[in-house]
Amino acid sequence: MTLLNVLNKLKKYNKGNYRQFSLCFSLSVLLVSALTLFMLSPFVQGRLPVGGDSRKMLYMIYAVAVTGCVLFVIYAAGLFLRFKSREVGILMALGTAKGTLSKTIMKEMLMIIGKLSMVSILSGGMIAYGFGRLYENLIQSAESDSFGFSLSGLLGSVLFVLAVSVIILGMTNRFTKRANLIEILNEERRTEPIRKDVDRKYLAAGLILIVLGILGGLIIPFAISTVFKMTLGGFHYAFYILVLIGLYRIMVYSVAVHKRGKNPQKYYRHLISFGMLKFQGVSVVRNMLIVTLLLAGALFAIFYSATNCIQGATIAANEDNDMSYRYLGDADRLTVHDVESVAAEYGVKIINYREVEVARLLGSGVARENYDENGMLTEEYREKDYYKNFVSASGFSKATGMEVQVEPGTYLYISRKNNTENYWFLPEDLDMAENTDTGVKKKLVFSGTVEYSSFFYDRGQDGSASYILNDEDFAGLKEGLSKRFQMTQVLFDISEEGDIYTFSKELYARYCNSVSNSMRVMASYDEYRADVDENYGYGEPAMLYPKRPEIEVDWKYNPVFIPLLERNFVLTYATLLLIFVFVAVICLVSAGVIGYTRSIAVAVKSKHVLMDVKKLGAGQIYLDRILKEQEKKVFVLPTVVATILMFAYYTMTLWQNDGVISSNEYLIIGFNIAVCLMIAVYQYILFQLSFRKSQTIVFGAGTEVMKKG
Amino acid sequence: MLKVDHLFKSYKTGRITYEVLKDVCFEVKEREFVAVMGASGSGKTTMLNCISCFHPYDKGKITLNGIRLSRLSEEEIARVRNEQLGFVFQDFMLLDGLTVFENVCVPKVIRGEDYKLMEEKAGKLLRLFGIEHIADKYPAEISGGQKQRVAVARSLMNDPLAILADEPTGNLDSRASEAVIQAFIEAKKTLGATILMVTHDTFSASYCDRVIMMKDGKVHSELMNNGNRKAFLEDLLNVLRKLNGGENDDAA
Repeated sequence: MTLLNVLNKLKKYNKGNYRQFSLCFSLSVLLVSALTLFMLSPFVQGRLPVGGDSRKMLYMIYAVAVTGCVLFVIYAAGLFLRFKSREVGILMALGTAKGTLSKTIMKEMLMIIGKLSMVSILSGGMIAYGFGRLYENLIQSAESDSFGFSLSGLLGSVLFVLAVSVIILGMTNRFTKRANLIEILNEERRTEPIRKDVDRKYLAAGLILIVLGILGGLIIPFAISTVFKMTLGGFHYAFYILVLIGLYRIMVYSVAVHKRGKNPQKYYRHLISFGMLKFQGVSVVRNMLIVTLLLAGALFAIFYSATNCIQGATIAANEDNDMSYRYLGDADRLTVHDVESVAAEYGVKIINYREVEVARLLGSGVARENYDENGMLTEEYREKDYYKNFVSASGFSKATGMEVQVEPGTYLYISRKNNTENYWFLPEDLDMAENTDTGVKKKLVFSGTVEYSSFFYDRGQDGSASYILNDEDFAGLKEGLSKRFQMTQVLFDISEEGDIYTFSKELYARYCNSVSNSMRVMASYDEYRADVDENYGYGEPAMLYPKRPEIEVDWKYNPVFIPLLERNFVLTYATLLLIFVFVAVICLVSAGVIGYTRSIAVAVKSKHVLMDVKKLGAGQIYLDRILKEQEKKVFVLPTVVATILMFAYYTMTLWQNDGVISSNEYLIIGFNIAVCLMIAVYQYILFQLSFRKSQTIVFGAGTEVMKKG
Repeated sequence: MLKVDHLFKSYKTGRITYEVLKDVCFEVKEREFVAVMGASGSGKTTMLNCISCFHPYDKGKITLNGIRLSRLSEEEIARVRNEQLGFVFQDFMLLDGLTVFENVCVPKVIRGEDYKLMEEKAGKLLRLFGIEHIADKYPAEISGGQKQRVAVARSLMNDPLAILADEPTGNLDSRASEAVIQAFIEAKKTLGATILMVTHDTFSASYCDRVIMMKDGKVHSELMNNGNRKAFLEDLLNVLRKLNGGENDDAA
């Protein structure tokens, strides 16, 4: 028998410990590499929206997932070394040289990490490939590219493995280099009581810190920008650190403080469980905080994807016509016969085809900027602001069937259904319209709003805003207008029968191919602003993909085809959805495993005390209750805190975006409540599973049966 | 053979420094069975841990057979622990994944000795302590008294200069305690072992040749066993009574 034989035999005996560490490590590497390989694939990168919040949020949530996995691995490695400490201590006490043991353990760790890394990256790659293929099939790509991995994706995965490996080896090195053998021997049984003086003041300070963090990070910046028209810059996010410190304090208090108070009966009922958990306080609180953060990350990922989905879904639901598109006068436009013949090819019937005359006139407006050099929100009235869309009252009534009355010199603003106002754009901002070809100007007064989504382009603000004028005013302003400022709005519905989707796809392709060069512009492009603004940023031509309607394009004249919107809705958000769901899964799995293993650790550490309590005459039901109360702590508080905080934060953010909660946002809030409840159920199931496992560990198999019997 | 000279040791907890050992001096001769007694917190275990090189000390000198332990490198200390010292702990410290026989073999395994010699010696020790019938059992399958006798057998595997035992009967009932003490006596008689045992148990200590009493981190007194165990037990109880009562009488 050699030392290696002894170590191998011990390894076999402690296979549960090895299995747990291997599982945690592989899971982290697998999830991160799958996510990295999927996200950094050229196929996915090419389909992510360029710029905007979604990409930022995606990277932010990716960072959360990776951080969660790193913390998860650190936790697993700590637990592994802790369980290993006893045998290491005994072997050292019996004279094994520290160097020999250190080398052996390091070698063993390297072997585990090396083998598992390769397998996990490979498995992660397979999962990413599976997701990629699924995504590829979902979007039914018409182009020749297909899902594949990038070098950066592979390097990202390897980098993660290297980073966590360095951390694990560092921890192992620190563990074996410790001088105090008694500490190593007692490591497994080491108690970690909270040494701070924790009282009501400590809790109050925690709550105050949370309130201050939310005030400083969210409410005050919003109030300042609303009331004083001033922004604070990015530093206010630092206030969220106070929320973290506050959370930590609340958790410390919940574990460390148990007072007789006003309900002595309750105090004595929980006396033993509190007393036992208190001595594992430091690690329990640390785990509770990590689980809270991971749950919050998962919730944010789900909330954000749901917001995108619900907002995307309601766009189609709010449209008044199945199909709507626009042409400028200089385009080689599709005629009603062209449209009907394409429809006939696919067995689709065109219903209620209408064309509306629209004039693009230079309107006045108020430019609101985030902040000036002094941090103030600025408002600047501009007589010449953007080219805006104007339609006559009779033309609008004829096309929509809605009777509108517009007095001379006044106008109605056309708004999207269920749209909410915000402080960046106000319908009453317009007070002048000008025909830039003839120089004729007219002063106008806001007289109200009409809801009709098919006239509402993009966000319906600035250059995409639409207004209804009195017929005479419209005629006067339109006179002498050149073709490029004359626009035709086409609206029609389609029958239920026929191959609606393929027809819509074909019409989309033909529409894209028929537009003039002046229509191939970005959504924010405006002819006037392009002339007058220095460093104009929207002058690049829009990239069109006639055969790929699923691609979100930055195009001012993007048509609205409901069949495409409905079908492409899932596809457009598929990437985002997949990645966010992926991140949510990572966070939830990590939170689950940490909660589960912590519960098991609590059970292992409580075993002796529970046995002593049993000797004092405690029955099985009482012992179960003590164990349950301890483990409940690991699950309940993090779930409550994470759901409440994240729900409140997200609802505040929805409100803060534009100062109101829209009907869509009420739907999102309802969905978010349902998600919170589902997370609570998930945590409850995990709690039950860990409790059953703990029962087996502490009281042996059959405890439950015994109790029931 | 084992000499502790002006030993000082302190612990720091936050800003507070606790002086645990304050100028401890004593000597253990070859083939001597010495017990160290004293109230909880008197520094017995800390002193034993310093001798075992389990943790460092602040000041003083510990020599084993003329070798000053603090001057040794880590590798040399490990060799001393393996070849010249044997350990018996209160909670046995057996490796749960190895059988009784394998556990006893571990010190020689660490030393890298030939398996024939190893098996022969392990078998001899198991027979000596009457535990050969449990050789193939795992620690979880045997009683506390048996576990401790396995630990004693293990401590003698490399014929050490001294066995250091920390509360070896602390977790045992009186019958098992007696069996363990008999094992020590047997080891001393048959194998010529030198034993330094920290204990709270007066009954166990009454079998020793000498008892060192500690109080507040210092050696308070020493009692010699003149061969009459019963009288020695009486003496021990008297001294302990005085110690616990806080009297400063010199009992030696």
